[in-house]
Amino acid sequence: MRKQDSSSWQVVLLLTLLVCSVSSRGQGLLDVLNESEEPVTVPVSATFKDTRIVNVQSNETPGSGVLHFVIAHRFGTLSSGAYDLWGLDNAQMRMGLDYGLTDRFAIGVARNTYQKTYEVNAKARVLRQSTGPKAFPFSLSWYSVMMVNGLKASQEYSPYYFTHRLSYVHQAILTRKFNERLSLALVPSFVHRNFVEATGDKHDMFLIGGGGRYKLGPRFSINAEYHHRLTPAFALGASPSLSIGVDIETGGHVFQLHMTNARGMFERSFLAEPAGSWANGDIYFGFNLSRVFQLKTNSEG
Amino acid sequence: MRSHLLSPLCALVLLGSSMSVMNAQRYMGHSGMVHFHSQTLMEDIEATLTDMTGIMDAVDGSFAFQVKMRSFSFAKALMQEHFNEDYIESDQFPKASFQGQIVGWSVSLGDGETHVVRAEGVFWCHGIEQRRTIEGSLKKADDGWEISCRFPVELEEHDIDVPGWATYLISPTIDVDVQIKLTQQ
Repeated sequence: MRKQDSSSWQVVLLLTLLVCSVSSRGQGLLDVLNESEEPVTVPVSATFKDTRIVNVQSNETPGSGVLHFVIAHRFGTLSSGAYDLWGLDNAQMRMGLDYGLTDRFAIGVARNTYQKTYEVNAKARVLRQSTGPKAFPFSLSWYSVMMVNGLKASQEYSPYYFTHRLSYVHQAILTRKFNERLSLALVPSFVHRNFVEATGDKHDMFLIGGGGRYKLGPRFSINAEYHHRLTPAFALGASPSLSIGVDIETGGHVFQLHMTNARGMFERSFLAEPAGSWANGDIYFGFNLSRVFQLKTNSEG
Repeated sequence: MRSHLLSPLCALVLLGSSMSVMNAQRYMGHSGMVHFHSQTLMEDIEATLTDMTGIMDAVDGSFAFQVKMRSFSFAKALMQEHFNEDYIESDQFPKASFQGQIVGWSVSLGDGETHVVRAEGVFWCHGIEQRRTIEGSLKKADDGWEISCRFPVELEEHDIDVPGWATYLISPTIDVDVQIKLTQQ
């Protein structure tokens, strides 16, 4: 009886030991490595392909030491008909240069043929969506731009000082990359115009905008954006701006093709000026062509 | 009666000591260097990381090495983005690893000289496993093992798609250099 007890105890002990040793050996070395790794916080990258969704800024900035050159074209309205080749005769252009001073801060200048407008702008990534132990659900970028109307002063508006030419836009750009394909943006904007043409137009305007992209392929996405005016800014009602487009990426270039009812490519124009009506065919075809130049390479690279 | 009591005790002691030996023979490293290079007439692309992890069991010569794809740092920010987003798809396949066994492992490899050895195992990258035999060098230093190797990776074998226009820019074969020091645990 006693002998049986001790032998069963032995079996149990041996089995336990065997199980222990088997489980320790059966654990692959790769698992040991994975356990030894400390999880790190990784910022989410490539929420959008470019620094713009269509017209509006995305959360993205050029990387540190990257010069981002954008040539944007906007043709006339499709409704202008065959005589103007549905708007292609009336191209206007925006040339912009943005430079990433750091990975989170960029400055830029641009010139638009529309109203011969100059721009000076700055953009900062304030918060970055990230995964890992310090995960954060969304990104916040800030964009500020000052625009200078370069048209000759009209006698109509005398006296007309330099300050009359200036307008400002400030935007908080909230974005979230939901998955590989879908990214959405919420963009509250504030516009201040030192000079408004029509009596009854407001100097200050608040807008709320929404935009997003859906990737259909690794280098191809559909983008759209809409800006709703919270301030009834015009004496006469006017359409808000609505744009749809596609991003096509090839190496160092991003092509953005779009249809929009906004005439200008700078913020004051597409946010604060009356846009054409989609229903009436006041739609402008346009494309942005961006190219990056790495002027300063990453030191660790 | 006594022998019945003794045998499990012996087993316990033996197993315990063998397990502690097993662990004592484990060498690990967390700051291995990996560098890769793609060369075409049009473009040189290279990237480096310095946080490869590795582990080797000096009892039987089994090992595992692992890298996080997002750790690769490129000279050009856009290249790094394209690497992660378009080619390696780091969100889906965040890691690459090589797990296997050194062929003909013996204690004599630890004599302090540099030995050229072959390692057989499974190379896992972009979610695709390939059985590989990779040649490398191995040297036992006072405080651990120094391991280095160089091997090619065929993009096609790992389902890494290069669009037509990029075939001038990205070589179908990527040369990979690895260096790591493993220290005793």
